[in-house]
Amino acid sequence: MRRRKGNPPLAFTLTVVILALAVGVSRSCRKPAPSRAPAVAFQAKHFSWPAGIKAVVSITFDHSTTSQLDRGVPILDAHGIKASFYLDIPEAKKRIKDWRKVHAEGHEIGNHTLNHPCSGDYRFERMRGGKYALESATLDWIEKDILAANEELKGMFGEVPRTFSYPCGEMFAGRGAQTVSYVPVVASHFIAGRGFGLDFSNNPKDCDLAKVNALAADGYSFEAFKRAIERAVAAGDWVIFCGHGVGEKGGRYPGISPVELEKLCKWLESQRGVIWTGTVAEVAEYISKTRSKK
Amino acid sequence: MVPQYMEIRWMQKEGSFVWPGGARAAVSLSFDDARTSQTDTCLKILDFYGVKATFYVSPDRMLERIEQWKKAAADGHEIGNHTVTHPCTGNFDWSRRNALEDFTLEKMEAELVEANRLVKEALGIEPVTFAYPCGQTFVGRGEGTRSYVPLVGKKFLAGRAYMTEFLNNPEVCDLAQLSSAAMDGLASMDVITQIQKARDSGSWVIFTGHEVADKGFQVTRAATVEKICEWMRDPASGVWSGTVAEVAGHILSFRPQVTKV
Repeated sequence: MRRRKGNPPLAFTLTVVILALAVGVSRSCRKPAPSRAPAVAFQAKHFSWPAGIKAVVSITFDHSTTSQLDRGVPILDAHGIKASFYLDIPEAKKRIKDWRKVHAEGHEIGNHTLNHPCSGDYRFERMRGGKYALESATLDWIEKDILAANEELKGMFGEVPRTFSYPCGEMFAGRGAQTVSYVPVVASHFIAGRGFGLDFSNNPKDCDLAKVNALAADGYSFEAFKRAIERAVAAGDWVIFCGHGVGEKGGRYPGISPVELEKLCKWLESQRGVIWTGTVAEVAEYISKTRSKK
Repeated sequence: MVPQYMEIRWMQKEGSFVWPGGARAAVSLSFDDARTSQTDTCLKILDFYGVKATFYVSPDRMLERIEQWKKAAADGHEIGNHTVTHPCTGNFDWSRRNALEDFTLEKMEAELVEANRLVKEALGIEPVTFAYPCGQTFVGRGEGTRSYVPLVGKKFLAGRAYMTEFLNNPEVCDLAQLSSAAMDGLASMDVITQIQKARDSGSWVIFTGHEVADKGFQVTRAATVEKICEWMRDPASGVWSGTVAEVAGHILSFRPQVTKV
């Protein structure tokens, strides 16, 4: 790695080298004066949701498939539910007018990088020659990719995204002994970073907003959604769902069925005083402001 | 626009990699935490079919069935490192007082060293592969988040993650951060479908289970283990079933030109 040359005097032990690299890299990643408050990095002593609220739900979609626009958004809108959409930029440009309308209605538009780098084990990554594979990426490259997406999205929607979703839910660059986490890059530019696919909901008091988890909700029935939400109610948690399409046939992600999404939205609408359904940015902002160290 | 990035490091000439014995895919069964149902139920099934699996043990739970674990190790099953205290994100209630967000790399390194020492002391063999508790590979939070994959990459032949979506491609995969699919709750057909998908792409699929019983939370169905073993035993299945260490060792033998980092 290039950065190692800058740090040889510190290389007394392996651990020191790792720490020195990590600190050096994360410093160099920080751009002057980000326009948004970065993700809050501490555990709160006290936290409470707004009065009466027992759990919080966010519905999110990755990749801006046309089924999200044509089948998902009308269902969400019919029940007054706002969702977060992490856009594939070239795909979104094909339907830019529609996406602008979605944004204007109050849905959130988030950053999902420009080139969607994932592990080289993914077939789609190898099909494009491995040139965006995370194993060969550096933090500098990833930061450029993320900021390039922010620029594009600012041009498309007039504002810079406040939250990020990790492509494939993966948060690293490099391989083996050279692997680094890119969570610090995300933490420095966004109020929240959303992972994918693990099996927990987020505790608002201590969760790291730079790596909140989303359940992989493609194929979920209404009952599966409800079970996950009931668990979140019991724990006072924030549960995030991530889907890819709405009622698509076949393909890598068949997505969430419109019938099940309709049932979910209708039910969430009826639970409004007890379950807050908000975008990732709204919820992350509330958590950041409400957490207290006292 | 951002510049395109370089080729990924291990990508080899197409077709240069082969699985042993003409197999078209590799399958590893792995089980975490040394739950008692693994010795009481699972090992009996595996041994009946002659399938060798990898057990990522929690050292204290291992002591509850120490004689059975000694026999399992002697029989050729792999015993791997799964830390001493199983630290995960504090979002899990049970891990809030031992949260990865509050960990440092030094503390994690001590976990890895100590778990290896405890296993060696109890079984006389030292683990060579590792399974990340909860599949999580970080310590710290926010801008202070650090990957602990390098610790694993330096100390072990392989590190196994969990609930990741991809199949391990032998030509490019990072042995320090291998993907594994959850096996708990699945019917045998669900597992076999995933193995067939691995076979289509010549991949290595690793499955992770916890308890082995009839049904329940974090339970791999005993009937599923039985059926997969039976299915894999048929040479027509086209799969090579090996422990994580065996398969990782085979892959590494195709990467001789670079010293393991």
